[in-house]
Order: sequence, then structure tokens, then C-alpha cells
Amino acid sequence: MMPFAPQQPGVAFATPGLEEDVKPVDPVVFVEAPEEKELSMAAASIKAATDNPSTPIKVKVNEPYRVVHEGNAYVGGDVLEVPDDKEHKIWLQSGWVTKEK
Amino acid sequence: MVWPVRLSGKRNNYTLLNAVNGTNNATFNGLLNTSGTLTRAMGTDSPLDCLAKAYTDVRVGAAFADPDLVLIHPSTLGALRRAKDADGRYVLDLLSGPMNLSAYGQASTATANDPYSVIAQGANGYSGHLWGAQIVSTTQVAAGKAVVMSVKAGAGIFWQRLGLTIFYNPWSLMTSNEMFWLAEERIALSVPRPAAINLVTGLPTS
Repeated sequence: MMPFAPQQPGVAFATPGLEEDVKPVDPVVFVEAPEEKELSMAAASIKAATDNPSTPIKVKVNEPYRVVHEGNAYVGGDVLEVPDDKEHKIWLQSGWVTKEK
Repeated sequence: MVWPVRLSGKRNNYTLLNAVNGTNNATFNGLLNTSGTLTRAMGTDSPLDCLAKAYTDVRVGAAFADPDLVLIHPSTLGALRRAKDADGRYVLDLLSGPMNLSAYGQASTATANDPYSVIAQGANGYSGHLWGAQIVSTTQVAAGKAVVMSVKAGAGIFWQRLGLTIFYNPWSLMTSNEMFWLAEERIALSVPRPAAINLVTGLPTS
């Protein structure tokens, strides 16, 4: 228990001595992550092509969806070839298209 | 200031519908170039039947949403307005009630300024409503086509930044008391849930 230290006029303020900390806290360490840099559009395209070097896949558009590839729209029943990349994996996962053999 | 506002609106409409990512400095695809949207062709249905089915498509599709916005060409909207029953009565008038009042009692064609602008400007461009969804007629949608969508369910998030810089050239224009002003705009669109959009084709073109 901390000793009682009365403070009266004329008596200098005195901080009682602190008891020794029996459970010292570990020092806080700040870990910095490397700053993320946004890729330019051209750099992103190059990275995507480099990361996903693959042959095109043939897909069939499912009803009632519509997909757009290279500026052309395709609706249910249309068959088209698309790169086997991240974007078109989403097409397959979402059920917008089905892989053709 | 009417001209820039109208020009801006027209260009925005075009860009938001037709932009292609990576082309003409666009960094997003417009609504008509987004993959994963729904489609419906009119076929043998009547135009209003086709639109009703388009609403249902959005409701029962992956978005499970009720449409709240319809984009349509003015000529196609005109054809819908002229649809009559066997007694010559306009079908849309029968739908919307006497004097074309909304369910809330006031005229449904709103002309109020945009309440969400910092400074209210322009008109919201609504051309009435159809089964609870606001209609916006624009020539940027091809005649015979319509976009039935639920913005609330994720059919589009629109971001816009406008800036106006006013300055003068102190070396030459001070003598003529001239000033420059430069208006710039940046816009972006994201479609988090493409199934909340249904592209309808085959509607009347005139």
C-alpha cells in the first residue's frame, strides 16, 4: 500500500516512491508493413498476364446472363474463348458461363 | 451555367452506360459493358409484359432485389405510354390512377432539384415511375432497349468529384478585367452485384 503523503501549505509536493512493478509490461513493438504501391493500369495488365500465363478457354454463356468480352456482348447460349485468368475464373464461379470441352 | 450542366449530364450518361475499361482513359466498365448482368428479349410478349418479367427476373435472380430504376430511350418510353387496352384507354394511366398521381397522392413526374447536391442544381430527370421504380429517359440508351436495375441492391455505385478553379493572368488579362475558370470532373462507377441489372431488348423503337 502506498504511504500517505499529506500536502499542506508550505510543504513541497512530494511524490511517494512507487513500489516496484512485479509484473513489468513488455515493451510495445511497432511492426511496419511495407507500403503498398498501386500498380498503373499497364503494370497491372502485365502482372496479370505474367501471373496467369495460360491458354484461352472456351466457355458457353448461361441463361439469363450476359457477359462482355473485348467490347462484344454475349448472351445465353453463345460460345466464346476467354483467357483463363482471374477475371474469367469469377465468371465461372458466378455461374455466368460454363466451361466448354 | 446551363450549358455545362447539360453537357456534363449528357457525357456522364454516355460514360456510365458505355465506358470500356482501359479505353479513352476510362477506369471502369459502363453498365452496358459489365459482365454478369441479366438479359431479357421481348419475343412474343407485349412490351409491358416483357418489362414486368424483367422486374421478376431481378427479383428471383441472384440479386433477389426489387428494381428501383429503369433507364429507357424516350421513343421507347413513348411507345409504352401509348399502349392502350381494348377500349382505347392508356394502360399506364390505368396503372397509375386518375391524373397520373402516385400512390402518395402527388404527381409522379418529379422536377425537384437534387436534394443531395451541395448546391441544388438541375433537375433529377425522372420521367414518372413504373411499378414502383423511377423511370429515367435518356437517348444514351438505344431505342428499343431498357435497363431495369436495383441501385439499392448493388446495381451501381457512382462516385463524382467536381472542382472549379477561378484564376486570372496578372500579366495580360488584368488590363481587360478577364478571368479564367476551369471546371473539372472525375467520375467512377462500380457494379458490385451485376445480377441487379437486367438489360431488356426488343422493345418498340418508336
